[in-house]
Amino acid sequence: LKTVLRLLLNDLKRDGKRPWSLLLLAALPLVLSVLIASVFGGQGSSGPMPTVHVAIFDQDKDLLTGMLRSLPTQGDAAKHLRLHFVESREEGLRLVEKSKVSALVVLPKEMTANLLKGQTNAIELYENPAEQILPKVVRQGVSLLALGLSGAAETLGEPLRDIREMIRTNDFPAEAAVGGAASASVQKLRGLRTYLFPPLVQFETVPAAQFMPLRTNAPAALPPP
Amino acid sequence: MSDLLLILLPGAMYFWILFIGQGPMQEVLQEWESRILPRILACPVTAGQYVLSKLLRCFVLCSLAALLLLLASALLFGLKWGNPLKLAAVVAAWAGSMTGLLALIFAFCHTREQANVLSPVVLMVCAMLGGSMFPYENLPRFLQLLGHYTPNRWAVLALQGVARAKPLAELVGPVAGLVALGVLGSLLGFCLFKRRLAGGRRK
Repeated sequence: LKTVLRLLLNDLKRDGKRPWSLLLLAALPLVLSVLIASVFGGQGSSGPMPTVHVAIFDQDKDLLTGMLRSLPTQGDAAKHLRLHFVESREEGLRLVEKSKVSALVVLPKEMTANLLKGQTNAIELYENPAEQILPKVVRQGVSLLALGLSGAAETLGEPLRDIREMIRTNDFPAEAAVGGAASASVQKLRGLRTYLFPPLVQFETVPAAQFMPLRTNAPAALPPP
Repeated sequence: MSDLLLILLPGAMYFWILFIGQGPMQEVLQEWESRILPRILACPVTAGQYVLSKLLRCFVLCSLAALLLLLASALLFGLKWGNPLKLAAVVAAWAGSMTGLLALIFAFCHTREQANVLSPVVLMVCAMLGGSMFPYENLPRFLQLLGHYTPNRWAVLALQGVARAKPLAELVGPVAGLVALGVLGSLLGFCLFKRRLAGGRRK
């Protein structure tokens, strides 16, 4: 063993006299990881969330699409979503080409009316090919929107039709009509109480160190449906 | 950035430290080819002692490089690597597995040229499958299955497990894999090298 240790010490002394190549190799993983983390991670979790710019060409201009206009002024959406309403498809595409927006969403004519009649609509989406992530975020958002609109039209179709008619008539609505629409809405929503109040699916922020991928992380206080 | 570094750094460290550990193993073949080895063995040194000293040197260099990187990343980027005792055990398992893997690769090669071709191929394939080059979770399912049996994957799981304070039961599997590779690889490499050097055959 003495001989082995002597040989080892001789070799290590030799390494110690010329450590630069070893140190350079040892520094490589750190340098490369920091570079990759800087490129893909930016400032990490403390960095600002990007704002998604979306061009909307609204050909419907009715009740449901009118609701869309108020979306980015509410809650977190106000910080992270900016809608640019355009007057023509060409204008929207120009914004995409100039990379001013991540995507152009074209809402079809008579969308609200068709939805309330139970007819199929097609929302067109033009993604900005120069961007990687944000257009996919918009695509997911539009899919969610389509699902939400479809669900809303199916569930609240009748009261929505009444409300739309009240808005379109330009007259002051009768008390009974307002009450009827409100009552019908509450009745419909009561049927969804199990799923929505409180929501059946909830989000919870868990510190990375406590994250257990194979467990549910269900909040203890969640009441049974 | 520290979260992302915690994901990227363990795999990259394991991959690059293997290149540091190659030095002693390459020296065995180099001294064998340049006929320095017979002169060393003419001294009161046996082939076994010579090979053992090279394996130990590989272990020491890999351990030092790993410790240096852990310390540097903690000081420069504030990474928290977890319990020092567990960390020391994982570093020892890392260095042992690197010694075993490199001893196996170099013991199967008869010339430096063979080793210079075979070694990067094996290390790169292990690195790609084991998540040292890109996230393991992004690999297709069948490659993940293969990658699960690479030392790189075990090394990443072990170090990330210590850093994230995972229960000991979750660390046992990857560390056991690393130790097994270290022990078996070193033993087999030692026997193959010793037999070849003691026999004096030169291809």
